[in-house]
Amino acid sequence: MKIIATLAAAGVVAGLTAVPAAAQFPDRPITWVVPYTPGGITDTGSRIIAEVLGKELGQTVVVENRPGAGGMVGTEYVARAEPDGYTILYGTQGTMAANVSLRKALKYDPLTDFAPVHGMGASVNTVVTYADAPYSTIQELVDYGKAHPGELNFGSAGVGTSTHLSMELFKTIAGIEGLHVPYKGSAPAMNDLLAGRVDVLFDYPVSSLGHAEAGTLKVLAVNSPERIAILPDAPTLAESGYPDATAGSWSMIMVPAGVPEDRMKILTDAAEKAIRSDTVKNYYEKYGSTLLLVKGDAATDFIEAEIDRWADVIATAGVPKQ
Amino acid sequence: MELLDNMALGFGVALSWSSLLACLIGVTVGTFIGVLPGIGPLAGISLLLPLTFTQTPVDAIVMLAGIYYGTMYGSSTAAILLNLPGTVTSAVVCFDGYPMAKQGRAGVALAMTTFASFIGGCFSIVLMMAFAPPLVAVASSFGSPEYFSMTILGLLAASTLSAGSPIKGIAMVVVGLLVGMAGTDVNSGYDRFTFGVDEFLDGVNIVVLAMGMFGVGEIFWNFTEGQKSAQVEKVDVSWKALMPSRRDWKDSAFPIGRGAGLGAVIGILPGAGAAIASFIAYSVEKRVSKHPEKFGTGVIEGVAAAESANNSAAQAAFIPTMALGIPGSVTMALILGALLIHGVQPGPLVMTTNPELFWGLIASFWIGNALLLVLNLPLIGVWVRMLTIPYHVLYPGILFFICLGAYSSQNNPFDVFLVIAFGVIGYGMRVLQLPAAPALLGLVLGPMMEEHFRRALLIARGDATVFLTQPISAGLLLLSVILVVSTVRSSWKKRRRAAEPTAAA
Repeated sequence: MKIIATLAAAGVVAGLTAVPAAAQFPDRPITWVVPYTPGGITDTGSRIIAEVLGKELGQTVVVENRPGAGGMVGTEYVARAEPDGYTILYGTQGTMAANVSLRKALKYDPLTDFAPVHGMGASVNTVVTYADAPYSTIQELVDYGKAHPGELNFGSAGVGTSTHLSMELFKTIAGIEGLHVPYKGSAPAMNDLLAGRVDVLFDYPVSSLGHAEAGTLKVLAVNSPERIAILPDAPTLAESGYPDATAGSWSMIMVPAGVPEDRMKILTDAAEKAIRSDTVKNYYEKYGSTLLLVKGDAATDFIEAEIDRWADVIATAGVPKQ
Repeated sequence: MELLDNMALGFGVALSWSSLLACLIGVTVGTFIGVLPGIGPLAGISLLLPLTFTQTPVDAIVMLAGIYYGTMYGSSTAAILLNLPGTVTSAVVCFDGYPMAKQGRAGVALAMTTFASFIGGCFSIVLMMAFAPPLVAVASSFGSPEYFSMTILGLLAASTLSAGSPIKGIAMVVVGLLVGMAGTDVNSGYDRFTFGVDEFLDGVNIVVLAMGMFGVGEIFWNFTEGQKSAQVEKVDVSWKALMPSRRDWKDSAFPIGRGAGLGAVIGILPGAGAAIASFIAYSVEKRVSKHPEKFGTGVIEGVAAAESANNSAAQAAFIPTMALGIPGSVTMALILGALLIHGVQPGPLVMTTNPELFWGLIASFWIGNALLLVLNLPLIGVWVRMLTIPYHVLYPGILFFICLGAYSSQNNPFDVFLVIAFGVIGYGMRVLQLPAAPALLGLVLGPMMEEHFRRALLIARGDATVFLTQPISAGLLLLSVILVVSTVRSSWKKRRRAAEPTAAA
């Protein structure tokens, strides 16, 4: 009955015919497949949302890590899962958009095999450099890069990751050349950046923050549309003169295509309440991320636009298709 | 006197009731998770992570850290008793620990690993307390050229790791390197040797290979040949039989010391980790030993050095994680994530902004290590009794746990099939007398070597002299050359000495 009460409180009346079904669904725990290893921003985020979402649904939401192949193994698993609403997926910019252009043999289609439930977070990249670098703003970096073509080393968390693609986008728009040095994840890349072995890194606010405060690295910019609360002094790329380089990754709760409409509605409403809750909002803020408040057709449109956008970036940057 | 102040602060935090309880829960859970083959610290920590949401940051991190190093203590148990390495680090303990168990000295081996772990861990903690800031500098001075040269040294040391034919040893290193080629190429993003199977895109899971080649292979071997080797009927579980003798202690003292030192140094380097530390400690012991030919047949030095290095490294790995915000392994990344959930920002400032957390954690390592000693010594008798369980009861149970462990690493049945496949291969290798250890080390070091070699050249714009112009890298390469020359010389001398009497006759 709690669900009905909360639905009503949320002003959702259109779905009244679905009320009997609402009392039945969900009547057992929901499995939330996170296609990445435990730890890291994705997994911790999912665990916090799972707790709130579970309370909204009146059922436990169990996080199940099915890592592998940059998220493809777990995503494929959900694409083949029963569309009964009991298996949901942590979708990302990588698995739902960029992979369409990065993988030749993608075994799922983000648009036809899945349906979006509700957006979660939009995360930002910080553009950072080491403490003694001869540039302290984006403009100085671009000037330096143009004066020393091919000398700069740009680190990333790996080929095809959002840090890599956002960096390539920036390099193309700013018109500077630089060598891409890929790492296995952002931690080893940060180690080399701090020692000045790579010059520029597209990183995450949460891992840049501690070093920025200690003065062991410089934050040149953030690539979000607006400045972020935890790094208020860092200008955006738009402010620095490159509005088109605004990018970043995002996450969305997905289900396999074909989940009955009444269940879809229950999931969407619960997810919306969970994402808008203070717990989740504070969590994302702490990580320098913003909420991605899209659902339904708007969410589908969003994913479509992202697929096209990253296809362009990948083509321009010349990232090979696997 | 800053050190004493820091310690006082740390113990003030770690000796609170809630922290003590958190520490006890952590190390107890860690021990039991470690004993189960294949279920590593990652699974344990991610299971208990939600529990820590309601704790204070200090208690949360103390508990999670306790699971981590508690697993290190526990994982040597299955390695010694059943030749089943639950983690890569404990694979080294198999080399001499399992033969010791077969000789009826399982209790001694287990007791020595417990003591060696304790001493290694404590050594590393002292080092951390006294020199945390300069140690951080050491960690960040390691770039790709240095890592590459270190893996070269490691691989050369590995070629002498196993008993028996050196050619077979080198051949198996190459097999390990080849298996390590599978996966996504870091530089280009291209797939290599994945045969269109997505599960191979991240490469072959090292634990799966280790459990398959060592554990499952051993079980298959016992099915066919095992009837000949007698089942242990009765074990002496008296305190005297379980505890190392004075002679054991004498043999182990220096190996433990050297292992602790090596472990502390290698453990600081993010990404190098406990596994490499224990491999290198083992091969150092073999090299300095007066009877290197006995390594692999059940000498206690091998067990003691590896285990001391492994725990020392496990503790030292907290330095880059806490002070640089750079986790050296997935497990450390998870602990870092837990810190972030609690609003603690790891990084160079953590010692000044959260001194109670940093020093409290380090003080809790002392308490945790002491608790582990108290917890593990009485358990030895229980574990040793496991050897008396008849094979037809024991093995199905173990196979069950292996499959469970393989599955739980990625929640994917694929790894279960893979562990069985490696078991069949491991059995074939036993029949052909091919050693499994060099293959494992090849798989651990190979991808690292390739990644750093290519990145070093990338950053140097193709200039290969970078390996010689960087002093640390040049030093490591020089050590490698000395190692090769001394090996060749000693085998020459041996051959001459062997040839002389025949020439005289």
